[in-house]
Amino acid sequence: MSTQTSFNPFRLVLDFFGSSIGAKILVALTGVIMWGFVIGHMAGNLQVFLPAPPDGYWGQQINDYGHFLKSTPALLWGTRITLIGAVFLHIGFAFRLTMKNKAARPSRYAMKRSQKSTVFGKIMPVSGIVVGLFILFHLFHFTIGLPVEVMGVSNDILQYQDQAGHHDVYKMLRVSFGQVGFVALYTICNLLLLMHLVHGTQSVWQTLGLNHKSWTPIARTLGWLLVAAIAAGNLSIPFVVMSYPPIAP
Amino acid sequence: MAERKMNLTLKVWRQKNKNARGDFETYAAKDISSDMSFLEMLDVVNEGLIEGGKEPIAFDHDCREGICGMCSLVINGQPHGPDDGTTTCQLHMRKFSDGDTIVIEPWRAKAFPVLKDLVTDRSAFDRIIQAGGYVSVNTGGAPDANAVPIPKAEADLAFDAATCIGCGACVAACPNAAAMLFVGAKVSQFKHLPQGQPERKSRVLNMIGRMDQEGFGNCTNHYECEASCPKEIPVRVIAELNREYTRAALTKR
Repeated sequence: MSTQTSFNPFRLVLDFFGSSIGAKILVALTGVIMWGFVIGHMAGNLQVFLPAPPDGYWGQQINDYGHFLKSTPALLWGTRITLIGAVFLHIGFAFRLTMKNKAARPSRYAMKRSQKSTVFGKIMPVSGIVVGLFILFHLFHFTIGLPVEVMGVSNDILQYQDQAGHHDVYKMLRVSFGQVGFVALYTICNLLLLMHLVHGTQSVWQTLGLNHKSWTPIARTLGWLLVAAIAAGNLSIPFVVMSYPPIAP
Repeated sequence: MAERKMNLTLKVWRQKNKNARGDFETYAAKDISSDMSFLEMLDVVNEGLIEGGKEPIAFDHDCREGICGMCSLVINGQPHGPDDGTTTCQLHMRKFSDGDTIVIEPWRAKAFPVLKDLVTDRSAFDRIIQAGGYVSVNTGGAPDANAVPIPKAEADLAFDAATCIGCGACVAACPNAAAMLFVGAKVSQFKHLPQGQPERKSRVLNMIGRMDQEGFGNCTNHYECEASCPKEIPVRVIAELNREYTRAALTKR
């Protein structure tokens, strides 16, 4: 007779994520999901730089892309639900781990010299909180509509329509990033996102148990390159759009 | 190197007992030879305290040759002091200069309560080992050592992990007071050996279960542990620990 107890997948998974290592792995996996979104989000937004199609107008490509997303609810809501789940699990478990970590050292050292920690690693909770708040603002800014006017920009920007009757994403971006304040805000928050991603990228392989003498340095270099690519892509949007001539709202 | 004599100022954590509030006391350490070990320097300071009718500074030590894992001390903000790959007992005073001020603190972690001055209770590590850090060897004739073939590369990985002396510097150095380098070393040591296979899953599950109960923190990949480990255990063992635990937790019977 087998001594095997009955298999309960829910019990196994709940026990696993209840443990220290399981919680860390959940934070890593949800981080990977959000990493995927950061790449997709940037690729989508970079279409703001695509030239007008023949017989079309500037900004048509990103407006058409926006229209495509809105008219494909399976894709739009599939992504949104996955992301909301990932964000809540990531924050919830990171918070739980951070609280336990603080409790594990009730009395602090009078003198502590770190040898390998990086600033990126040290500020993870702070960069995470700032990025979380920024994402909320970003959603109000470009998706839900700002409840109050901020630096001359109101929820009117969601009403702009282009010649095809689609939402004019291009004009919305030009009006927003015509304001230096918005460019500064998006730059600072993106830099914090990048700092968060630096430590996340360096950590994810280790946490998922993938550490190899030869592959790990390559994976870390690729992580840096990926973060650099996100930096260049994301930050190019406010800066380039700001350099366009001013546009009337 | 010629012997030097130096005068130092020590700021030492003094704490009467587990429940007392501790604080720093300042002592002068005079005429210290550069050839002394750090613990010998403390012995000299204690001689002076005893002669003056004062309570000597309590600190842990045993073999004084870097293999027992008893000595500790966070010296100027670094567990086991400023030298790489050495324990406090093997740290020489020639690493310091005349006139230096040296701050000496105990390991600080909820799981390692201070018993007195610089002595901490590290029995949480013993309880983690009791939970699974062993192989069960039943009675019978001992098999010949060469009867169980082990590839050299695997034996080396096991040995690198097995050099852990359980001193707790990893916990002391970790910003989160996590014990994952220690537990990783113990799990890795057996994982790479055939003798470790029968208890491979139960070992990691029980050791992590105990580690979580003891109130250690969780690794956030700063790698301070690796930097301060006197045996230079690599953080590779933490990745192995994560992998072993996941495998065991999701496929346990």
